[in-house]
This record gives sequence, C-alpha cells and structure tokens, in this order.
Amino acid sequence: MTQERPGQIAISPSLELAEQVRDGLQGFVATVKHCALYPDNNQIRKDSLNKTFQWLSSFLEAQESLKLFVGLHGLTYLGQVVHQDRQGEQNVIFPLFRDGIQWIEFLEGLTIDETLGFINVLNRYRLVKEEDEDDLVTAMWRADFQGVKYKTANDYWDIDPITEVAALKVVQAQGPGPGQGQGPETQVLGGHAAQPASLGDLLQWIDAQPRAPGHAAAKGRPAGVNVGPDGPKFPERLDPKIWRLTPSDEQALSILVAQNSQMTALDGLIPALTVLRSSKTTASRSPVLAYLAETVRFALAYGELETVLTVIRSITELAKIKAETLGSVTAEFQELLCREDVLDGLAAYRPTKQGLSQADRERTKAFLAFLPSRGGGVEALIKLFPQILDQGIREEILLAVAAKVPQVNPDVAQNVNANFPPETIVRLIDFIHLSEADQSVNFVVGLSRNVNPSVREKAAHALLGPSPERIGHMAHLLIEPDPTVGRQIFALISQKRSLIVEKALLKFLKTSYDFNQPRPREALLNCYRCLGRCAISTQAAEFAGQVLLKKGFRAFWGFGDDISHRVGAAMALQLMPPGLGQDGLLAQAAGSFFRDLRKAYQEASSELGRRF
Amino acid sequence: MSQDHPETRRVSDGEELLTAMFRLLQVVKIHQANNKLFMDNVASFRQTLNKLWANGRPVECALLRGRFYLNDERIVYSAAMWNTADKIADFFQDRRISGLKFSPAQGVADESIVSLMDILNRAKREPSPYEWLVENLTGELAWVKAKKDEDQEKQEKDGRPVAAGGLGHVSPELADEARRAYSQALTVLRAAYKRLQDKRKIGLQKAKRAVQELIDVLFADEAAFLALSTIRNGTDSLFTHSVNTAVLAIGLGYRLRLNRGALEQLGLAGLFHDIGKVGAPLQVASVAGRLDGKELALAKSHVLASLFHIIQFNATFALKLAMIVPTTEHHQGLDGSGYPQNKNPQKISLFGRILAIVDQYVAMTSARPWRPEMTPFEALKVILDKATKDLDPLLVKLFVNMVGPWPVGSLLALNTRELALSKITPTNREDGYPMAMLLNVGQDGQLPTPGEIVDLGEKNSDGSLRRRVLNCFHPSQYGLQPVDYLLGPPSAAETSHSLYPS
Repeated sequence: MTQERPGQIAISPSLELAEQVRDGLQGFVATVKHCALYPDNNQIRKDSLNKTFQWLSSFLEAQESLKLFVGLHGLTYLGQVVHQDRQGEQNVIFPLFRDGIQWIEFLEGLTIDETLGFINVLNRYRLVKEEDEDDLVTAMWRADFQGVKYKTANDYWDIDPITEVAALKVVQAQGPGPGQGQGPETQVLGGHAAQPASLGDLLQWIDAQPRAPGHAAAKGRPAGVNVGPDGPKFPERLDPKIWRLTPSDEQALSILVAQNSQMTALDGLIPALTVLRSSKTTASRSPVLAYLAETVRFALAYGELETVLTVIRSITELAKIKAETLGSVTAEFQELLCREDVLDGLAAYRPTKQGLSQADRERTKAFLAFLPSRGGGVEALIKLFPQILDQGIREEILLAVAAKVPQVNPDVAQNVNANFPPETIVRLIDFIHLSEADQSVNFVVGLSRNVNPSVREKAAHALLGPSPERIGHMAHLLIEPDPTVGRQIFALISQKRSLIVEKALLKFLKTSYDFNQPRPREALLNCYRCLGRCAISTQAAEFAGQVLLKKGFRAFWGFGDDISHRVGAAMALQLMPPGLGQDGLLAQAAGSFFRDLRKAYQEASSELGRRF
Repeated sequence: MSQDHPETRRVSDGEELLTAMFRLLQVVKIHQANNKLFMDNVASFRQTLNKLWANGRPVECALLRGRFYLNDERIVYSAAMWNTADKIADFFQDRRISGLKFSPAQGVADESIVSLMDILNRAKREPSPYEWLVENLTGELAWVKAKKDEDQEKQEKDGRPVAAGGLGHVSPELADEARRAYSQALTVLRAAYKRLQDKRKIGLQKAKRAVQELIDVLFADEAAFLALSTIRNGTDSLFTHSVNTAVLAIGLGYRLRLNRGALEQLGLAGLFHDIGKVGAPLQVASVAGRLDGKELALAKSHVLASLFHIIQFNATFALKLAMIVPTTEHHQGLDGSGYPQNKNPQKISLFGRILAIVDQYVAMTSARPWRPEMTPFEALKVILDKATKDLDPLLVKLFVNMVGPWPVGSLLALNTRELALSKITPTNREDGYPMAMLLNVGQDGQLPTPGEIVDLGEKNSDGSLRRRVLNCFHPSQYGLQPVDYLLGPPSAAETSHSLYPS
C-alpha cells in the first residue's frame, strides 16, 4: 500500500502496480535475450534468470497472478502499457501477438523451471519458422506450464462455431421403417426389427411391455413397467466380466502402450511403398519418393542406418519388379538423396560415446556408395563435411568422395578446399587413385591450389611423384610461395629428362620472360635449374642462350636491373647435358664486355655451388 | 533441459507423498504382506512421512478444486505425474473426502500403515464413506484424520448429482468451448477438402490448434468431450465421421494415459485418416444398396489415397509418420483379414489399433445410404465380438469402459416410463450404470426438453434399482442430437432449435 508523504499526490494502486510490472518486464526481456545469447552454464545468464524469477515470484506472492494482454506492439497490464518492443531490435514479445495469443498469465506457484521453459519457447519461436514446423502456441500447449496460462484469439477462425454446430442436422433414417422386413445387410449389422416411430410411440412401447407381479412402482412416477425375472427377455446388459478391466489388464495396457506407441521411420516404409507400387506416373510417384527421401534423412539423423539401407533396397527391388512403370525410380531416388536437405541428416546425427560401430560404418559406406558420382551428392557431402560430428561418418565420407572423384566434376575440388580442413584433404589425397583416364588427376590438380602448403605439398607429391610430366597441368606450382614445398616440387620435376617437362618449363619461362611477369627469384631460378636438368632438346639451350646473351645499352653498363633470368639461364646452360647446342654460350657470357652478362655468369656459378 | 528431465528436476515433497501413497494403495490391494514389493512400498511411505514430520508438525494433503496442496502449498507436478494425481483425486472423491492429515507419530508400525491403506481402500464400498472413515480412523490409526469434501456435500444437498469429472451439468462456458473445438475441427477438414480440390498443399497449423482445443475440453470435462462424439450430420457425414473418430481416439488415448504430444498426434491421425475419401468419387458412398466389386475396390482405395495426401502435408516428418502408419493400418485387422494386406498384423501400432476400433464404432452408429445406423449398444456388441478377431481385445475393453456399457448419447427407454440420454459412466462404477439426462417428452413432432440428471445406478431402499433400462435406441432415429442436451444450451448464439425457452 502506498504511504502518502505530506505534499505528495497519491498514486493509484493500479498505476503503481503497472510501474512495478514495467520495471520487472525490462528485466524479463533482458533475461530472454541473455538466454538466447549465452550457454546454460554461463554466469550472466544464470544471474539474470534468478533475478527475473525472484521478481516474478515476489510479485505473484503478493498479487497471485500477473495477466498481460498482448497487442501488436507490446503488453498491457491493468490497462497500462507496460512493455513495447523497441524498433530495430529483435522482437521478444511480438511473436506472442503473431501467433494469436490474446493474453498470458503467470500464476502463483510458478517455478523457475517453468519460467525458463517459457523463455526458451519465446526464443525458439522468435523468428518465423518454416510452415511445417510448430508455432509458439503449440509449443506452449505441449509444455503445459502449470504456472503460465494463455488464451488465443478466436478470430483465427472464419466462422461462428456455435452456430455451425447447431446447424448440423440429424437426418432420420431412410432405410427400412419400423416393423418392416429388413434386408440381409441390416440383419448382418444387427439393426432392430421393429422400432417405435416417434418418442410418443416409444412411451407406449414401454407401457406395452409385460409387467411382473409384485414389483413396486418407482416413487413419484406413474405406474411404470417393471420387468421381473418371469417376464419376457430382459433388455440385454453387457456382462461386466467381459468389459471390466482387471489389474492385470491395466498392466497389460501399460505394456501395450510402452511397446507399440513409438514409431520408427521404418514403420512408414511399407505404407509409402504400397502407394509407390500403385503409382503409374512421375507426378504420382514424386511425392512418395520425396517422402522416402525424408525417411532417409530422419533415419540418418537418428543413426538408424539399417533403416536407410532397407529403404534403398526396397526401392531398388520394387523398381526391378515393376520395371515397366517404375523403371527410372531408382535414378530419381538417387537424385533426391543427393540434396543437401536430405544428406544433412548425417550432420544432425549426434555421436555416442562409443562412436559408430563397425557395422554402422559399413552401412554408411553402402549408403554413400549408392549416391551417384555425378549430380550434387558429392558436392553436398563436401559442403556438409564441417558440420559432421561423428568421426566414423567423416572417415566414410572421405573414402566415398575419394571413390567418386574419378567421375566428379573437377571444380568440386574448390569446395573441398573451402570445406575440408587441410589435414583431411591430405588424407583424402591418399585415398584417391589417380588415373589419366578420368577426372582424378584434374581433381587433385584443383586441390593443389589450396592455400595450405601441406596440401599443396601432398598434391604435388601425389601428382608429380609418379609422373613429373603432369607439371604441364600445374604450372602454378612452379611459383610455389613456400620455399620448402617449392624445393620438393622442383626435385620431383627434375627426376628425369623429359620433353614434356622441358616444354612445360620453357612455356612458363618464356611467358614470364617475354611478358616481364614478376616472379619470386628463388622460384625462377629453380625453374631454370629444372630446365637444365630436364633439358632433352636444343630448344632449351636456344632459349637459355637468348636470355643470357641478350645485349643492350643497359646490359652493357649494368644499371642494376634484375638479372634473375640471365642468372637462371646461365644455370640452366651449365646443368644441361652436352650436345644440346649450349657450347660456347657460357664462355661468351663469361668473357662478355657487357657487365650484366658477366655478372649473370658469376652469380650462376655461385648459385650452383649452393645446395639445390 | 526440460522440466521433466530426470537429471535436472527435483521431485517435490508433495509429489513424493502422493506417489508413495498411491503406490502403496495399489500394492495393498494386490499383494500379500510378505511380498518384497509390498514391504518396500510400506517403507517408502513411512520414510516420506518421517521426512515431512521432521519439523514436528502435521502433514496435510488436501484436494481443492482439482489441485493438490501440501500444507497449504500447491503441489506442482510434472506431466508424468498428472495421471497419478488424477487417480488420487478420484480416490478422494469416491470416499467423499477432500484431504488427509497425518499427525507426527513416532515409531508407526508397518501394520498400522497397512491397516490405514486397507481402510482407505474399503471405505469406497460404504454407503457413507466419510463417516465410516471417521469411525475407523481411531485407536492405532488416530494419527490420521480425513477431511470432508464440503463441495460434494453441498451439491448433494442441492439435489444435483456429484459433478466430479463432469458427471453433472456442464457449464455454459465449457459447453461453448466444446462446440467451438468441434466446429474448428470441421472447418479444418472442409478447408483441407477445398485445398485438395484446388491442388494446393495442406498445412497443419490450424488442424493442430483444433485438436489441441479438443484435448483441452477433454482435460476439463471428459463427459462433455465424449458427448461431442455423438454429433451426427446426415448430409455431411464424411466430415463429422472424421471428427468423431478423432474425438473417440483422443478419448481412448487419454484413458491410456498418453501424453499431450501423443494425444495431439492421435487426434490428427483420426481427423485425417479418411482424407483420401474426399479425393475419391463420393458418389460411391451415395449409391443405395450394396457396393459392387468395382465400387468396393474404389472405396478400399481411399486408404492409398489418404496416404498419398498425407505424405504431401506441410508437416514435420515425425507428424506425417504418426498419421501415415495408423491410416494404413486402421482397416487391416489384427487377424490380417482387412486391407491393404498386412503380413505382420500383430505389429500394428497402438494408434492403428485405436483407430480401428473407434472408426468402426462411429461408422456403425452413423447412417449410411444403404442402411440405418445401429444403436450404440448394438455397435458395442459387434465391437466386443470382433475383439476376438480383428480388434485388440484389451483396447476394446478399455473402449467399453470409456463409452460405458450404455454408450454416451444412447437413447434409453426406462421402466419408469421415462426416456433418457446416457451420459458418462463414472469410473468407480462396477455395474456400469451411467448418469443420464431425463427427457421431457412433449407432443409428437416436437423435440423433448432436457430434464434432470439422474444416476441410473441409484437403488431403492430394498436394494433394487430405482430405474431399469428396458432398451437402447439411436437418438438420430428420433431427430435428437444428444449434444444439444448433454452440453446444455449454447450460451449466446442463435439456434434454430426451439429446445430451450428464450
């Protein structure tokens, strides 16, 4: 109760209460936000929740309830606006209005668990969800908070329900009338042979029933009909023994509920296959296949891998049996399974402490093998990979991607680079079988563009180790920024003399030289070293000679220009085997009047003295 | 984590007491005193009392307006507990008590506790249970006091029968709520039909709300809820059939103590189990006489059509699954005699078994173009007969318990030259006699007006029944819509009935 001080205007109790509620709701809204932002064990969240609950409890203890009316922009209490969602902020209260709640009432006895439960519901449904999901009202209804009551608006419906029910009319039977013979179907169903036509007739029928002597009429009623044991047949009465539930019946019912009330994804398979079997067109089977794809997604999310394989087996078998009408259904189903919204079931699966069993790993493998190589399946798997928590599933995806690489679009390598961690890509490369006959080489070439040096190193080894000629596809590796990796790459390229390698190197060097493309010095020199080691034709010496011995004003005076190309060319000429036309070229450079030529020769000699 | 998560939720003292008491009351009825379960439950109850007596004050467990209180503090219990609470509430009401007070008594013997439970159990059979308890809770049981249920006593003085669990008159507000919930369900179905015709997808938000509101009516008053299943509409039977099936399915699920989520799913399964019929030629159902082979095949294909439509609902996978499975199963039969063929009929799901029973009951008690409706009583006999064949026998028993041996909404001819509509049968009634509403029959052609509610199990002083049922008829055959009587008049709407004087 407010205590007036001298000179102070008394505030009405409702205004004062509204003020209290306004203050309390500020804290409540803050708590809603804290619960959205912070994890369960966060201290800020816990403190905020405790504070809000304390305020609510105290208020409810004093007032017994807190009833808030929900409007478009906020909440009112006792006719006063006590909260308005701020513009630009994520709405906390608006979802109540959006989902049709008229008022919400907190009751004395509200527990902290219920308070948190309610806040969680608010947070869960703050954003508009997909149409197929539940809404805030359904969540509240299911939670059945004892301490939180609500009412939804009736204008959700378009009709007046009271009038609607009153308009439903009973139509009296048109079948065989009372006293008339009845057909066999009604006899089968047990209809009454002779029946009074009206209620008045019914009362007369009662009067017409035989009386049993000595049975007193009911007090205060007209002398009614008493049917005693000597009278005609009693009306039937169901023997309680056949319908009364015994304690063992109750137990059996509990068991029945426990055993039969849980449905698994597999339970829906046969109904869906039944419909699929009867479908004759793509339009009629597409929804069924979509449902079956959902079944797979659901089963994946719950780790029911045997169910997944059962679905796949069932469809493939059905397709064989009904080849005429369902011939392409397997392919259609495969395409559906490649969708991200199906495969994300793998990401939804929460690993157990024991991890995926060996049997389930095999099932996962079998499932992934069913996905087509072409189409979005591999891309979807790669995109989802970072979200997959189970180590066993990650491993199987890796193997599956490796297996499908030969057929997959090489551009997919970009997705792998973007989504797989480097160590995983390194492992992936180990699993890929490289062949020029398919896309595997191009795929790994794509991987060699990874930002991580260890991936580039691995890719380079995988590609160039067995076949240095592949450098033709991987010119970008010639300017490998990481020195260690670079040295390894050049060591791989230089394993043997090869015309293809020579050409690739020449192409790269010529382009760099002719177009004056800036290159890291070490990379450039390594290229020339490789050229020297791999040179097999006179073209190499010809090019190197041209680069080394190019004269000019600046070369004469040596203005400090970058002479890396000359140095490299000199190194290449020194490393080339005899007989390629390089004779005398080096001597010319060594004894040249042109300062840059002499300098190049000296630096080349010095470089070659260092470990290559 | 949810409130009910076992690792996070602490069970309150009140819940502990209720649970311990309930378990012991059950165990005492079934087991011998030397049985381990028996002894464990006695120990558990004593332990709970000792804990609550730690402060030296009496412990009072009271029931007030459907809520339990422990020493004036409301007991808040989890969803898993409400069934138990419900049963204890019935237990109290059957004995005309509103509470029990346990005064601290050190060293209470096991025999004393067992004796207490035995006396509480037996009190139900006494003509004046409360007075009998007062007489018997003495001597070694003086530490327990029963509190009289003043509300019940008042109602009895007013001449109205006990209204617990909806045995009396239904409040106008609840009646409106019940009608509203039913109508919303009809609206949902009509809208679904329209969307199918327009080849548009069907979402379930409104359907969920409609089913939730039906369930809320059930929780408030089972009798009012079951009365809804008696609604018939001769010209539009497909939709009322589906809603009535949903109502009875939910009712049966409630008796099975399914949780709210499961009841919701069951209700939706019931509501849409025949959605395939709206896509199929309805004229098949309009043909007078028996269906020929082709028409019968067409009628059977409604199951596949229903599946096809449900598969495409805008709903979560789990919800669609909960609807698809029982829709497939509800005509299959536990003996495998139905359609579509099922090679493992014993694996039919709980929902499928429930729908099979209620769907057949509603169908039999509804008129068809080629036959009149059966009386509820006759339909029940057929259902009981089928319990040995294609229907689940346990669920059939439960169904009979739910609707009563004289099913809700039956028109009863009584030997006292009265007509009555049966209401719900009280759960404690061994003989199965229901509460009923007498009808004041006027002139022929006029609808009767509602009379008082009577207990058909009421006995004369010589032990004979005051009123005896001579026969059971279908109210539709007399133009009666039982819900108009059983729910009372609509509170504010205009109706075309002259049933209620304005």
